[in-house]
Order: sequence, then C-alpha cells, then structure tokens
Amino acid sequence: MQSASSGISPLVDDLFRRESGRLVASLSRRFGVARLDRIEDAVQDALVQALRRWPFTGIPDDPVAWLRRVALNRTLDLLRTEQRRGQWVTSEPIDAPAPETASSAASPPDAGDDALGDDDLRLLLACAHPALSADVAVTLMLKTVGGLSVEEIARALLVEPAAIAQRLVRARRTLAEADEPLAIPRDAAAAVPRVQLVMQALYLMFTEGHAAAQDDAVVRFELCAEALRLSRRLALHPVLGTPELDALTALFALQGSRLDARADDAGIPVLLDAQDRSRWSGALIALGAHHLERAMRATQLSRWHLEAELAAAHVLRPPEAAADWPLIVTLYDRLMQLAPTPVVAVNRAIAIGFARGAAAAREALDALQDDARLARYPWYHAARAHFAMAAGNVIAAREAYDTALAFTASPPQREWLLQRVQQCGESG
Amino acid sequence: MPKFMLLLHEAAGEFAALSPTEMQAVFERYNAWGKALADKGAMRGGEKLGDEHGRWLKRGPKGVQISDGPFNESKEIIGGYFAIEADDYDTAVALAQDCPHLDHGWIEVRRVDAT
Repeated sequence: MQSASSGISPLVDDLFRRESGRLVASLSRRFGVARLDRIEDAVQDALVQALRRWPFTGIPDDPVAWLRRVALNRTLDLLRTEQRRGQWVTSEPIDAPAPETASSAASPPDAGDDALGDDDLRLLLACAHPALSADVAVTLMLKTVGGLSVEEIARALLVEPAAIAQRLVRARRTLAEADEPLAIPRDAAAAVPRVQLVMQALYLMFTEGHAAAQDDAVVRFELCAEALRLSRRLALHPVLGTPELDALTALFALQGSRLDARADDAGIPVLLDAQDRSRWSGALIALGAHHLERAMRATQLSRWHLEAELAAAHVLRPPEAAADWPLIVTLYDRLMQLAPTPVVAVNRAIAIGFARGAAAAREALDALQDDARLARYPWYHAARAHFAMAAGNVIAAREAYDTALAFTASPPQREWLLQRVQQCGESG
Repeated sequence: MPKFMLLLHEAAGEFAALSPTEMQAVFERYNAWGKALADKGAMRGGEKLGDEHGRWLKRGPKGVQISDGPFNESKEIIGGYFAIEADDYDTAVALAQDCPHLDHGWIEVRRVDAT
C-alpha cells in the first residue's frame, strides 16, 4: 500500500478542467459525437474516481495517463451496457479501431497540414454542427472543449443557468439524432463555414478565463492560454486561417500579456493605470503585434479587429504616453455597430468617462439602465459607482458598489469592491 | 503509540455534480490535510474501498447465507479509511476534525485494539 502522504507534489493548476475537455474531445473523436452524453458522463465519473481515490493512494506518477485510462474504460462500460439493453443500434462494434485508423484506406495516411490534427480542434468544429443554432452550439463548445460548468457558462453568456442546462440537453439530443453520426468534418474545407461559431466560443472561453468570477484566483490563466492556443492554431491553418482569426489571436495575446499584472500578490485586482508594466509579458505582446499585422490583410474590419486594436491601444503605447481615450471611444463606437452587446456598451461608457468626464459617463451609463441583461452584471454597477464617486456623489457610489457586490462571487473581486466601499465611507 | 482508524462515510454520488474545477479544489483540500498529518508523523496510510456494497456472510439454518450488502437500506457507504497514530481518542479526534471530508460526509474514529 502506498502511503497517503506520497503524493505531495501538487497537481498542475486547472488539471481537472483541462483534462475533462481533452478527454471528451479525444473520446468523441474515437466513438463519435452522437455518443457525447455518455462520453461526458464517463469523463465526469473518471474525475470523481480520481477525487475519491487519490486522497487515499496519493497522486499517481502520471495523473493524466491515469485519467485517460479510467475514462476510456468507463466509456466502454457505459456503451456496452447500452448495447446490451438494445438502445443503441450501430453497424460498428464499439471496440473497433479509432476512426482515424479505420478511414486511413480512404484518405492518405499523412494528410499533411490540412488535416485537423488536434482532437479538441476537431471537437470544436464538430460542435459547430449545422443542425444546432448558434447559441446552442457555442454553449456546447464551452461545456465540452472549454470544460466550463453550467454556472460559468451562464455567467459568460449572461443567461440563466437553467436555460443553459436546457440548451445542453437539446444539443445532445440533436447530435444523437443527426443523420451523420460522426459529425466531425474529415477535411478542413468542409469546416470553413463552422469557423465563425468557433470564434465566438473561443472569445467567450477567453473572457470567462479573464473574468474568472468564481475562482479565488483573479485570472484562470489556463482557460485564456487554451483559447489563445486554439485560436492561433486555426489562424495559422492553411485552409481555415483568415484575417479575422489573426485578429482574434492578436486580441487574446495582447490581453493575455497583462494577465500577470492584473492582480497584486494578494490576488486583489489592479486597475490598468496602476499596473506594473514590467509584469506584462513581452513574448505575448510580440505575438499579438505579429498577428495584428497579419490581420491587416483583411479587406473588411471585423469586431475582432476592433477589439484587438482596443487591446493594442493600452498595451502597445509607449510607457510614458497617456492612453488615447478619444481614439478608444471611436473604436468602441465602431464596435457597437458590429457587436452591440451590453458589455461593449458598458466599456464604451467607461471610455467616454475617461475621455470626457464623469457627467458624460453617467449619461452613457444611464442610457443602459433598462437593459435587463446588465441588471446582474457587477461591472456595470461598479462603473456607475466609480463615476458617481468621481462626481463627488458618495451616497450613489456606495449604493452602486453594494449592488455590484451582490452579484460578485469571486473573493478577490469582492475584496476589491469592499475596498472601494470603504473609500466611500472615508469621503462621506 | 496507539493506532486509530478513520472510517469515511459518505452518501453515494456525493461528488457527482461538481464541476471539474470544483473537484480539483476539493481534492487539493484532502491532499493538504493528508500531507499535514504526514508532516506530523501521524499518517500511517489509507485505502479506498470499492463502491459496490460488498457481501454479507451469515450462518443460517441451512448453512452460510451469502447476500449482497445493504443495497436498498442505505445509500451511505464507507468510501475508504485512513490509519493514523495518536496518543488517545482526544488527539485522534483533533486530527480528524480538520479533515475536509466533514464537508461531504462524516467520520467514524475507531481505536485499533492492540492490547
């Protein structure tokens, strides 16, 4: 028996979430997306087993291999049970070799750069199935590849958790009933129409990592890194790559370059102006600048171009120069035409505040007051509070900070808001 | 030094609804607790028990009767056990008191009778 203390080496941060996405991706590739619900159950079971066994046995030498083995066995168990019950009709035995081997007679063994090598890239494209509506497909991608919980998806999409759960049920049913059981496109050209939806999902994955609302860490760096990796792979793909994907990649890299500086050593958020620029990642800034340049071959600017430009306005400016707020407002104005989301509207109002003063910010924020989607969005209320404070209206500021607190679960973000509330008290 | 068994009782399916991120956080707490006991020199190992309900053997009028465990009577199972060393019950209970399992089930502390 192994001593319970032998596994003292801490696991890689975010290992469970990352592996859940990867396992679902690789098992779906092997057994077909039509069996997604059973595959997800099997992966969840494997993680629960790890959680219940490792405290007694210690962490295995290779935790990833352990999870893979257990998840594969569990999938086979579930599919066999189903087969015995006769619920599942297929011409293909479940122990058949993985599809990539089975299809090698039809396609050349080395399909070159056009092949969709990564399992998770293929699963992403499979989730963007034409039978699914955009909302449903994006939800499914965040769940399966992103490894996000229903709660986290609900927050990223500003939708009630119950509605997200329903979408997932619908998605799995649709995929299970779809005519083509293995809905993963075999060649890249067939996947081109699906890329738009994938970009939306990657964007939300990155945003959720960036906001990391439910975690103790201000930033779930892994989620952002994953979105960047997938986006970059698509951007550099010879068939699927587009200037929009370069813009998206630039956005992730430029925003990601500041992740380290967004929290102080105690995990409390640090505002952009107060950030220590030496903690920005030079490598990511260079990567972002490179992709931004590639993105400029576009004939038309997309929302991703504008967002990447916005990130660049902060990151690529020389240290001594102040932020060009009038330019930032202009970029937001154009972004509102392409992607009029409530969150963009809030950010635009904040930029207006920095460019033209608190009264202008208040006017822009008041205009959003009736948007029900913002009622539970803490940073809308925090923005109101900030500019109320700037205008000397301590009572309104305090009220708005309290509302923001009511909708924030993350301890460091709460701490930050509480510090602001305290400042209200000192001035009041 | 006397040895104690910590039997970890839990409801079946206790962890099934957690998200992967939450599961890892829960595991890290168990791991930290186990390491703290090991650092104190109190941990003597542990094992997880199988999730099936096991077999019951009883002598009846027709010989030994073998049945499955209390399948329907209780959905509670002993997930596993830790063996620890402690001077007495009070010390053993104090060590068990920090165990994160108390957020997910309950702990039975039994002394190993070595006399």
